[in-house]
Amino acid sequence: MMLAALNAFAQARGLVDDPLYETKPVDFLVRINSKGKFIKLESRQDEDGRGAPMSIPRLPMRAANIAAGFFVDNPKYVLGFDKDDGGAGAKAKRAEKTAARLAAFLVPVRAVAASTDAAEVRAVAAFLENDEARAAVLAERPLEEWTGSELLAFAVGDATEPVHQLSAVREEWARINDEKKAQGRTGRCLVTGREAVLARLHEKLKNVPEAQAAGASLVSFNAKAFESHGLEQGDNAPISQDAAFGYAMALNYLLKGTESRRFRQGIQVGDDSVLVFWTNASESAESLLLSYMDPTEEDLRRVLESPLKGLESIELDDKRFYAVTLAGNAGRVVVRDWFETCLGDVVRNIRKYFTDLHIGNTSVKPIPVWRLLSAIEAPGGRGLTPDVATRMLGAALLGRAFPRQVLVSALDRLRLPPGKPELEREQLRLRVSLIKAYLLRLRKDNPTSLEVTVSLDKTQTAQPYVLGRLFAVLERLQSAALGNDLNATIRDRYFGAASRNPFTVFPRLLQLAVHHAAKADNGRWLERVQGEVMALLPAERFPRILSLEDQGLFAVGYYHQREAFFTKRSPTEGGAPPSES
Amino acid sequence: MRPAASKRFRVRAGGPIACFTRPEMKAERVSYEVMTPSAARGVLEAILWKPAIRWHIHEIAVLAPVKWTTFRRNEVNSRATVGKFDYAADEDRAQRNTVALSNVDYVITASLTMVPGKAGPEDNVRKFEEMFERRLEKGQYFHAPYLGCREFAARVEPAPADLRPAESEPKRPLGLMFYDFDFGDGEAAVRPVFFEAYLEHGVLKVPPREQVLALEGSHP
Repeated sequence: MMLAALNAFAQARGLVDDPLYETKPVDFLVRINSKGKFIKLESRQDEDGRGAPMSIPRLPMRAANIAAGFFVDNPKYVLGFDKDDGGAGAKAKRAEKTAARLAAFLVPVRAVAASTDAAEVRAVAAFLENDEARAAVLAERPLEEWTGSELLAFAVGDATEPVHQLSAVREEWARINDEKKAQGRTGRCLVTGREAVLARLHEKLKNVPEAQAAGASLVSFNAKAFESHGLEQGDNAPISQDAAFGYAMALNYLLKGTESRRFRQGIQVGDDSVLVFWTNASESAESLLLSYMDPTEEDLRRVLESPLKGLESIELDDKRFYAVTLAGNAGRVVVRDWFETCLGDVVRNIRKYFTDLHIGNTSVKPIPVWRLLSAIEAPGGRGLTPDVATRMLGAALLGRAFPRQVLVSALDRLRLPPGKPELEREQLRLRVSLIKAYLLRLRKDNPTSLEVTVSLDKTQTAQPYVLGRLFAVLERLQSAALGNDLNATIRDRYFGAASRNPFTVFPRLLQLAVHHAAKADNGRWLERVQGEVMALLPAERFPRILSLEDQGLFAVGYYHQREAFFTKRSPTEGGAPPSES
Repeated sequence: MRPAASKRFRVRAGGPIACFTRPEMKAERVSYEVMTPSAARGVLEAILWKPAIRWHIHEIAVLAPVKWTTFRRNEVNSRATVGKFDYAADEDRAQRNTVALSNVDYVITASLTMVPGKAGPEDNVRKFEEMFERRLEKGQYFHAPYLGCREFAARVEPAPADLRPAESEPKRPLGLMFYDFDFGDGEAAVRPVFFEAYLEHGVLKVPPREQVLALEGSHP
């Protein structure tokens, strides 16, 4: 199903329109005259050393084997370049390999020269047969500048069109591919269900985290233990060449990095995997989803004015949404997770996700998952298990519950003394919003727990919530009395203990508060607020112990009350002095 | 002449983990959503199989909602070789991921027929029907029945009549699904055979073997 969906995506977006050619950065143009004599090496590199992109005949899949490109390839094939990496002993073997590469590159050139009468092709063949000419090209640049992975194309005389784009050469290239295809075994493809030429090896995927840089295969049978009943390679899973090419093109398209993103249409999940998604709707719907789920800085600025508005425009219930989480395992690509669902549901879930996370008086706005998680990560960047990010995305896209680890880590983080003050307010908001969202989703399965609101709820009488508010009032009293630059505030010292064991901490804090109130300018008003809050507590005011969920509610209450102090109160609340710090 | 078929048995098979590996993703395993016919055949053959009989799967009802789980294990690259003893698994490691199903529960509806040429004069359908029922009732098996992979043991029992599938969707396509291997006769190579699978009201209807093979075409 997944491969079929990917293949359909590739067809719909026109990614497989030109299976014989691909666009690659070509670094140099080797200019020769019609006799095959070398004229000059034209660089196409920009200042960063990247070649200008050009359409070239698709290069073959290569690992350790020798497989040459068609009229375009790297200097190892074109010029017999062989970097001396100081490996002793293997010199003879290397020379042998170099000769084999040159020969492999020459074979199709000769074949084309024999079957067409294009002078340019004969010139290339003549050039390739001439050792000195090749050496002359290599001498154009200092030896250490050649890496062996540059791409070289040919041009003859003063023609601007490279040799591989001549119509005679293109025809030959098509013919060679048809012949190769006709040699393949046919069978019923398990992706399309149609009779077709089956693929033996599949195109590789690039840019999968933790996979080999040269690319890794999704469908592969590279060890005996992976094969069944004596079937070899592609016969284990009959997939047509077209379908194999289609799904690989689709994934490569989605995984490819762009200027602003590491993956065109993927969200990095933890260190080692990426969630790639696609739909059968439009490209604009996809980029919109991406800008909500994994916003770049620019996206954040752009959506700030109309948060979540854009999502309303893509209520497409009949369209499908597909997502696959990929990770690398050396030469193979691992599917970690895969799901397919209705696009309308996904849009609704994302909106619910951000509404659930929303807290305080700011507007609802997208927050990247990685930023949420970095707010609750233990200092030093450790402590969250790798699947938390995956499950957070599950909460966002599929409306699942938030992982409990979010609550645990956020509370742990709150107990530590606050970090840099300029970041602290934002970090606190993220932590408490995660706690709130966790508690909200918990409610679905557990009707006895309480509604958690977006901002301060003065009618809420749940004990942990009220205690949280009380703690914020006491903290406020302290800072009003003693100023803001204390070595250790009661929050630094007592937050953890107060939320876990209110009974052991609050009586002492209340005592302190009496002194603070006496010193503070607006002590009277704050004492009144304290009285209001305490009136909401039951007879037995301080429980000995709070459960983890209750500690979460405590944090939410603390945050709400704290934010209420920060925002200007409406004048109807009357006579109290302004409390802005 | 078609050999006589037995009555239809209903067998319930479930377990905590199952992996009905997709052939295209079997190096890094990903399971099908639903038990494949060949896995169902494997469960039944674990309980009773003789050269004289052949199992036919008709339906697989999915009682539990599809749930996924994923884990990574240290496996090896080589297959076991008969007579090779100097093997160190640590030198042949392959770390492989598995995306498996968790908490599965199925009711397999199947029947058996006699294989002409293999069945002796003393064999008849009735005899095997009774053998199967007896063995299923007692919990006897030749090897432990399993859900897709040997390590995911299955709990197997006669299915009570009142079980209902988890899904009610009238017709959900599952794509092309592995049916079974076509072992061919004699020299022909083994090949995998696929069929267009649908979950209809939570039940996978399995087409008869002849029909699937006809669709696949003759041997290449």
